[in-house]
Amino acid sequence: MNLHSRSALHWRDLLLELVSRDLKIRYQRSAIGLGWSLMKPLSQLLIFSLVFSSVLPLNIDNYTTFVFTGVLTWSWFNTSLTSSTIAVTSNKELVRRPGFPVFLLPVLTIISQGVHFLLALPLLLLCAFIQTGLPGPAILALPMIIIVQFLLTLGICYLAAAAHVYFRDVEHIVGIGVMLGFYVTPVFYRPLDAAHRFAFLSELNPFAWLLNCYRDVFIGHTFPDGIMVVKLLCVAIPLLIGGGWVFRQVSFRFVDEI
Amino acid sequence: MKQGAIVVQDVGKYYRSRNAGRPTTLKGYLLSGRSAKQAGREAGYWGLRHVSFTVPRGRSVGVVGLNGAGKSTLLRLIGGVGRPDEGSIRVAGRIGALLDIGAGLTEDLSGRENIYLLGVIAGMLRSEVDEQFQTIVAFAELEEHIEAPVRTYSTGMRMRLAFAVAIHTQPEVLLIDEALAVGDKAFQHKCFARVAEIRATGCTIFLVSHDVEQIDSLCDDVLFLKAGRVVAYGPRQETLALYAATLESKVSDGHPHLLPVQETDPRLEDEVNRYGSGKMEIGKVVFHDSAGEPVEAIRSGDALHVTFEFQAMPQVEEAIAVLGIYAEDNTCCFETNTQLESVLVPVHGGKLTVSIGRLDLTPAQYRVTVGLFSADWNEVYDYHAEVYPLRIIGSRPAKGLLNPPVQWQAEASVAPDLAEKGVV
Repeated sequence: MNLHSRSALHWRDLLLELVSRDLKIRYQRSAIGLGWSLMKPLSQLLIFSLVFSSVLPLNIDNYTTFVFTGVLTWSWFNTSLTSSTIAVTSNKELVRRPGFPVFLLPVLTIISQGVHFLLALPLLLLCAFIQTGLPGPAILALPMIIIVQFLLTLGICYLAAAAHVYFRDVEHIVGIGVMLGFYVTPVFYRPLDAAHRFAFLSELNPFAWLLNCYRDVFIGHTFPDGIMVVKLLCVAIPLLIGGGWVFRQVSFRFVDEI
Repeated sequence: MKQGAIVVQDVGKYYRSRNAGRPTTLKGYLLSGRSAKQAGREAGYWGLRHVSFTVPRGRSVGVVGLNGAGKSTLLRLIGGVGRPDEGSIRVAGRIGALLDIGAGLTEDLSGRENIYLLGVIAGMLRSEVDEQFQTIVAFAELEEHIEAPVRTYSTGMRMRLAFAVAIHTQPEVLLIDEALAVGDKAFQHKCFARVAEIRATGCTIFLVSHDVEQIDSLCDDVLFLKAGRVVAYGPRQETLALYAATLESKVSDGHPHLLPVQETDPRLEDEVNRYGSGKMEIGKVVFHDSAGEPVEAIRSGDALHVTFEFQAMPQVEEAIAVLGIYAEDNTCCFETNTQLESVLVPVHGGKLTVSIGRLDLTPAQYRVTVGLFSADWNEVYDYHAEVYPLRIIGSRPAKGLLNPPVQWQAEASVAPDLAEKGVV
């Protein structure tokens, strides 16, 4: 067996073991276990669908599905970024271990948050089915959109994790950043109209593009706009390469800094 | 490069500052940005500097030195944790490590789950852990508790579990940092036996320890570090004796001049390139060529005679004299001693001459080491480490350390008729 395929197998096993450790220690000793991971998005969903369909009606069709898509997608990104930021600094143990591939740490947190996302996905599909009927072949585009989101998130996470080793403030900056991002991104409202003076917030925001793709599939039952996907990849891939490069450059000094 | 070998070349590791380090907040960075530049360079220090050595496959090397000598830093660098600021480190083969034993355990998971987790973190595949699982459990003596969560384990049980996993990773290079003192005496004995067993399979071992006895029984060679530099690297007994000598002089504070002080070579400095208890002292060291003329340089392939005078205190019973020739990068080219040649050193003082029939070294600058040890190698009487410069001149080979007389002979074979064989 050549060396490369062995390390690829090893990375797979590491991800498997570490992700399952993450999930086990979080939920093993609680009564409804992984069910808790659904509670936060579900309660958010409840609030948004109540507030924006009865109290302050936004007049968006299928609002529950609309906002569920937004909340779920955003919470995967949000939790991934906040926990990836501290992924290196909170795993001193692993970073100091000879032969441990440090670059897996952010990947690991995104995957383990992604498990929660995937677990909630059936609920979203059910919700979409009730409101809009059978999704049709467009649902086949879903794995691709999820992968695009993974890549986009990973690039940002590499930058944040690397920066946090040097500047512990990054943790707080990221916290505020994702909170602002939640309101700036059309998570619970419709993307802003081109005539709006803040239209750029929706037009130049990769997460707005990503949400559009998801909503095309869930609500519109159409394949996502090809141009949108290409635009997303044009942001995600350079970001990932750049982020990964920065992370690699500084990773040799991690052990001296943490 | 052969699997299992370690090559360390002129490695240096720089630390910015012993106390403060760089500011770890953005504010601190912005505030200190100007003032630090104005103050000039940040104060830092070299944790390791000019460290070069090679460990061949299957050799086991012990590292000794006082606290802060850079032993653990070196071990981690070899393990690929961090990167040296200077020089290079190459390790061929799979690295296993016994360090921070017990630090990676997850409290809420069972012993079984922890074995998989630790095994994979240590570089094994899940399938490899599967194969080793029973052996690991048996080694840890935890058959009955393996399904219980680790939080219910005693400290000893945790250590046993972690150690058992670490020791079954089937490495080609095993790094050990002060980790062989786990659990009770019986278990320690077992760990020790297991490391010896791994060593017997041809695994390269790199062991950091303060326990000289442990190093004595597990290692072939010893690397002696002091303040980030290599003081000596060589056969176990000799190097350990040097280490013991510096420990004693540290305790007794300074080089004890037991013998009447005589004029010493200005190149000698205690604890820098001179070690020893002082019960014997080496005086003048002179090189002669084959004609008996004192020289500082010889031609490659010429004879070399090294003569040194020494005196001894009356209680010295037996001694071994050592002579070594080192290259500029601290590689030992050659070392011999009187024990190998079954020569008795006159213990009341006198003069020793080593005659080297021909010295076929590559032309370069070398340094000569001389030393006197007790007959059981436990004590260094006097040791002058790489003090005396020796130049070898002459024509050089293409590369390498040796420069023996060479003659090529070319003999053409009978020219084959290519056309006849149908090649053309």
